[in-house]
Amino acid sequence: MTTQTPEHGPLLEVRNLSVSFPVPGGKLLRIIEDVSFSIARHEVFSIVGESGSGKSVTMMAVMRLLPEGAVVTGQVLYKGQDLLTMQPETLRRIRGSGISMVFQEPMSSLNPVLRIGPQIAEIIDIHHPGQTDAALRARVAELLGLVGVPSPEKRYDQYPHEFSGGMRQRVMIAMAIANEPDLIIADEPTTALDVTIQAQVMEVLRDVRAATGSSMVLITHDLGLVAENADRVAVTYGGRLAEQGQCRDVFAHPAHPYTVGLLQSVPDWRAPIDRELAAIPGQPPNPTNRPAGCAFSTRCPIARDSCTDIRPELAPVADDHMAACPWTRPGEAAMAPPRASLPPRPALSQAEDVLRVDGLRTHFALRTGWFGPRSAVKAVDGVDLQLRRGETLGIVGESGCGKSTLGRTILDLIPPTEGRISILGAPNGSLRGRALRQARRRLQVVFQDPNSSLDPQMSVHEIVAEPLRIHGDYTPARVDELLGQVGLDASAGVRRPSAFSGGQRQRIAIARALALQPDIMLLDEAVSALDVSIQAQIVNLLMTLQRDLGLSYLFISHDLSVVRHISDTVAVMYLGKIVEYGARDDIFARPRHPYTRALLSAVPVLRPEDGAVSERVVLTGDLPNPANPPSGCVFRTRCPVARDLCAQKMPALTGQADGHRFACHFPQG
Amino acid sequence: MRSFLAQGIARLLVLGIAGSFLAILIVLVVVVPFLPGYDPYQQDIMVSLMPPLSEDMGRFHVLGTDFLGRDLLSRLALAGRISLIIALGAVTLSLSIGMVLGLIAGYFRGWTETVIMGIADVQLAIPKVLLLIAVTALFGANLWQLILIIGLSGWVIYGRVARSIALTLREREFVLAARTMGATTSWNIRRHLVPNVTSQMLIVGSYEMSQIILLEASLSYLGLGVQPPTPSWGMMIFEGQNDLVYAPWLSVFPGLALFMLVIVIQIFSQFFTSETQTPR
Repeated sequence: MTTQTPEHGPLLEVRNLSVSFPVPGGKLLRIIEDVSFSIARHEVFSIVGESGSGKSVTMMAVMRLLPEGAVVTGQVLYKGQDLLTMQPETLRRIRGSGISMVFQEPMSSLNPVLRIGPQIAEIIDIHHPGQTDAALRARVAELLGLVGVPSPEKRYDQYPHEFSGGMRQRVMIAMAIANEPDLIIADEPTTALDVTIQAQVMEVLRDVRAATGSSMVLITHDLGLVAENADRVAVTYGGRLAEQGQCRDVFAHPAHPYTVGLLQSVPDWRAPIDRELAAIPGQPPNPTNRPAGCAFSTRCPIARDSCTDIRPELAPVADDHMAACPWTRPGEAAMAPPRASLPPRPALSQAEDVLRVDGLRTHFALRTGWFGPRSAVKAVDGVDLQLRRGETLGIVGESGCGKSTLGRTILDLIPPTEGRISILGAPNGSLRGRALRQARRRLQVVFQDPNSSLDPQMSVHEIVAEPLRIHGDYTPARVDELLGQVGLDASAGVRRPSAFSGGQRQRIAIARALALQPDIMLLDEAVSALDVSIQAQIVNLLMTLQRDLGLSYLFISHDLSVVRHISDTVAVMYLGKIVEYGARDDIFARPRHPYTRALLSAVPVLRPEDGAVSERVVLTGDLPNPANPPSGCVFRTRCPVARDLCAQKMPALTGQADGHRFACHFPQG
Repeated sequence: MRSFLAQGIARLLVLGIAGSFLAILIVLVVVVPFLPGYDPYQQDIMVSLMPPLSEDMGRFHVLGTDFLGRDLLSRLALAGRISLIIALGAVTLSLSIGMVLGLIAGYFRGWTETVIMGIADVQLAIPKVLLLIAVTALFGANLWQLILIIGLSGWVIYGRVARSIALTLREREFVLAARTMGATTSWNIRRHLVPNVTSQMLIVGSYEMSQIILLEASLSYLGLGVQPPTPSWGMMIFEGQNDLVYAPWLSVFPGLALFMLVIVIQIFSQFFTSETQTPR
């Protein structure tokens, strides 16, 4: 706004940017190598890549926000001025007013002891000092209104803890646009948010861009989000750009083998369930063991001998489309290996129930202060479900819906308030001591976070041996066999979990869960923390193990694409209750509950033609406080079709003869 | 780059200083007592208050003598052993008690936690030195009683640290997973909680150790520490303080030894901390 540069030429041009960090031993470790791209005015440019690919570091380097000691070379031209060599004072003027940032964690990006309004006003005051308090207040209220914060005047004086995650991210966006920047850098802006809230926030970002005409850099790992929002895209791998170009070209006709593999790893909404996902084999490189040549050469299906030595340059493959691979042309997706089909399974209709849950309630007592009123958070409030032998039951819902509490109650880690859980016919509460510990063998668990689910002080061999030792069945050969079953070498046993990547650690956790030969595995967000190419490997492993060992899975996840791929039956939870329950195709192709429909439509899809629900339903508002749920139907406060009846009466989970059940007075479709 | 190098050099320098202090202390408490002809208890009023590096009838007093003519170096060596035994013994005792009670409180929660942490709060509310004075005044003080008393009174800090770590560990997935495997409570505490608090316990222990050496010194000053003629560094400092003006070596050398020991413990515990931090 303030500079007088002409309105042509790129807004931001990054030339040959390299970043190195010092490591113990006095050496420099190169994190980003020779990255170049440019961003035009009014465009959305996305940098997409898996964790550790350097996408965030690139933009931190652009903003000169890297820690002391990082060595940055190259040029970053903002309207023709090099940000890297600029005087700190000039740079400071550009930060927050010309270029602003939105970070991933709305929880830690706001100062918890300052009121929201003054935090935003401060940003305006820094760049446009001398305004009256009243003028600042009015401007902040306007901004809060623009990003869709309801009753901004009242919210002005509230503290960050009074805002939900989605609302905080709106506040971050308000701060980012406060000085009408030309460029907003959004670093994983919705990764910490639920999918329906993500849809709201992305809509806000679209609206503010339309209002201010700014460009945006969208840094993300979510390919669907890129497909739906970006004009142009750069794919990063191992600290280098693998491919860049117009978003629709890159996604429709990917040229780099990595892009091809990445796109195919995303569970396809149309693919038949009896096929494996197209995973990229191997592990992503880390900066210490990157090959001298192409970083992808170790995992590439078309790599030649020279690939490991000669570093390919980013070269044009079509108009405004470049790829760093000399051996491929756009659209040559045929090079991906054909997907193996999974062996067939016995029909589920005849199978016995291995797990039955009837009328389960888990309430947490809550008391404000010593003398405050007692209340209860109804985390799980009346859940029934059945799991047959060999079946996968997917439980989906957003954070706070009670799906993890449900899982932990079934695992007997949290005592149920009411209801029955029978594992292989033995109801909970009927067993004590030794018999209970024996019964627990039947049900094993794999948690989400592979860092936290493995004891850092134990070797991998000891970790996998632990369940065997508890039951006195330990033999070293059995541990090696288990490691082999999940695709790890027995020699991995001597190392600590910290020596392994996320996907490998999850394999270790699976090996440990398999050790007691359980009938049921509870997979609590077991693949959610993994990068998409690794996630596909683990999903394939789980599906193969299920077929080989006849396992039943309780698959708890917020990721609808993965649930669709792996599940036979799906239960959708909202605020402690199951709102819809049915066969996978019933839920995904013929959803009846308005929440299910909204949830499905909120998922950003890679291939827009795949969407199960054609029109997008963006839910308004946030999840209600579970300690104080709405009367009647718990979903009615956000429901697009709610009527008076919904406030009075909770609809029962009833349904059709085919087993498709839903809890709605006014089912859709 | 340069700051990195400077950091490395500074680190080496600090480690070097601490290392040479350690070497001096080891020579002092391990080698010196075996030198023939120097008895820390042997009095000789004829040679009282001789300055360092003086000689009398073929006996060489490197650090001089005290007012009873006892050789200061050999007394310093014996006192060092006593101080170290007290510190190590007391730390071991309070660390074990505190770790066990803290882990139990943090893992079980509920009334167990309320009781254990309640006791801790009450104990913390009583000034430690006052408590020790009362107890030693009642029961007298020999070396082992002193260790027992200091050890028993010092568990609270370990208990609190262990409890707060146990609170997070009990919710960690590897502990939950072990429970679903059928692990008993004692299995979880032994296999998962203890190994994961040990390094923090040792860090607290090393800080506490210097505190205990100083605490023992103040107790000795009040006449409630180890009883003469058994020396401890604290007692030697305070014995010497009356003669500080004309025989400064009596207090300066034990003070210096105490100073070196505290520095060595602090530096090495910090080094130990940074080297053994496991990534999680």
